[in-house]
Amino acid sequence: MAAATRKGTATPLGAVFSPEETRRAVARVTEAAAGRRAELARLQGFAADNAALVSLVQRLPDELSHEIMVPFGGAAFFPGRLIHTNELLVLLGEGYYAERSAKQTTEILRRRGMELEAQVEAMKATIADFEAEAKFFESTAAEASEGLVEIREEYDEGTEINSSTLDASSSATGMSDKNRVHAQIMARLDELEMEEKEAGSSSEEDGEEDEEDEEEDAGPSEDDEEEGDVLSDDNDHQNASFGASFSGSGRNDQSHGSAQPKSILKKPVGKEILKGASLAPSARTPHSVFPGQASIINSEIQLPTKKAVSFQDDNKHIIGSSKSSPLPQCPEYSSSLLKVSSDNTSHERKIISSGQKQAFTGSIIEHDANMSTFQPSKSEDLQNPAISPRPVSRFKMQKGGR
Amino acid sequence: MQRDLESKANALSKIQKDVSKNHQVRKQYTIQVGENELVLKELELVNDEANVYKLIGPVLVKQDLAEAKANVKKRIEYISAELKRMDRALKDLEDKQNSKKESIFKLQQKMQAVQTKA
Repeated sequence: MAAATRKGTATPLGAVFSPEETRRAVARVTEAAAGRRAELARLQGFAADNAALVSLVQRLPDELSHEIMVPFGGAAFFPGRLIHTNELLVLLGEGYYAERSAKQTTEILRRRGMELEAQVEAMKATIADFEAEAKFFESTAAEASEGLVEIREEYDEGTEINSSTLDASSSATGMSDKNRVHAQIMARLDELEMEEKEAGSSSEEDGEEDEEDEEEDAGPSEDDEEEGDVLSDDNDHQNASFGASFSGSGRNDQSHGSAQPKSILKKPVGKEILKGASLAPSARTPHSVFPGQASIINSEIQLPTKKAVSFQDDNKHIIGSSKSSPLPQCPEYSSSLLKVSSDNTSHERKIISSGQKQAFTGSIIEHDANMSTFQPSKSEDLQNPAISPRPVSRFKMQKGGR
Repeated sequence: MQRDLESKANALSKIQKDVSKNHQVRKQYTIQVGENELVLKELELVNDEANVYKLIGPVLVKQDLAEAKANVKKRIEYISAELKRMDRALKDLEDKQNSKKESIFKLQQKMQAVQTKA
């Protein structure tokens, strides 16, 4: 569109978070988790002991006196009798003992058991936290080593406001803006189709269109890839809004993947994107990608071809496979985008910004049109947790998303 | 400037050690306070007739229930006060640590600038 190309910087993720450092972070976190696990084992041992003690104490007052072998010294026993079987001196804690009957003792022990249970639960929760953190670091390390590139763009207040209002209005009204946007989209679509033909896009697009039409109502479970596709179009507003409207959805849906690249190739229209996204609503995996991330990935593609090429090289295999229907990964989309992107307008910023503007609720909102609220769904298992331009702690977002 | 950096680094490490020690002591205190509260709860449940003993060294000494309760309550209060004090000290240490880190960082930057110039 007429939107001016934004200047941006692309930094390889590996530079920002070096793979070794992230790996070391993973090691550290796993260490801490291991320590906690040892504590947990200890607590569970206590709980088991407590249970055994309760059963013993309950059996004691059964007899007036028990015949036992009394330990004597280090290695000797002598036969003896256990008497006063109902009188027990119970340790309350901190050096305090109380004389209690067997029944009262079991009460005390039961309360102690409940305390232990609570501690065990707390420990389990901390361990889970650590594990999530480790997983997050792990994925970051993997991404960094893959050569993911973080793309930052200048944030143009004016254009952003426009796109965000567009999104907001569309999300709010739902249908009202659809028509208007749709008209715009159709115009864009025609433009892009021309471009695509020139670019020699595959004939898959035709098939996609049908798909897209069918699934239009699927909802906003689109990956950011779609956004990226939209972004590739010059249509700033539309792209931004489209991008924003996509909520993170499972990237790994193959069908999703296939639909998306196609839609991307074909039409930058948000509608298309939605369709593509809707393609995989059912297939949507719980793993949603940060919208920011997706947009970043998309933006990567849209950046000057040189950069795109480098990215492409990283995902050469993906490019090849992107042609095939199931595209498991977002990068595939990128590759397809690479092919399509004639204009390298990066709207990721816009999308990201608009996306970030909205609070993350962790729920996926279905919208008929592409004007859906940009809801980044978070999942702990971020497939490609690219770093969003906003320095929001991903881990925090993950936590919030849980 | 090198020496300055070293001295600052030493001070920082000392502060960090203090911080970690503070953390440990705080953990201890927290556990103790928890245990004492548990004891108090049980003592409340014990009826007045029962005998309460305290382990002093190797000797189990019979204690008055009311006295025992009062003692435990006082311990809880004392430990909580200690905990609060440690919190404040920890905050102070952390602030100092941050400021030291900043000054070290600035110094490092200055040194780098000087080195690049040279």
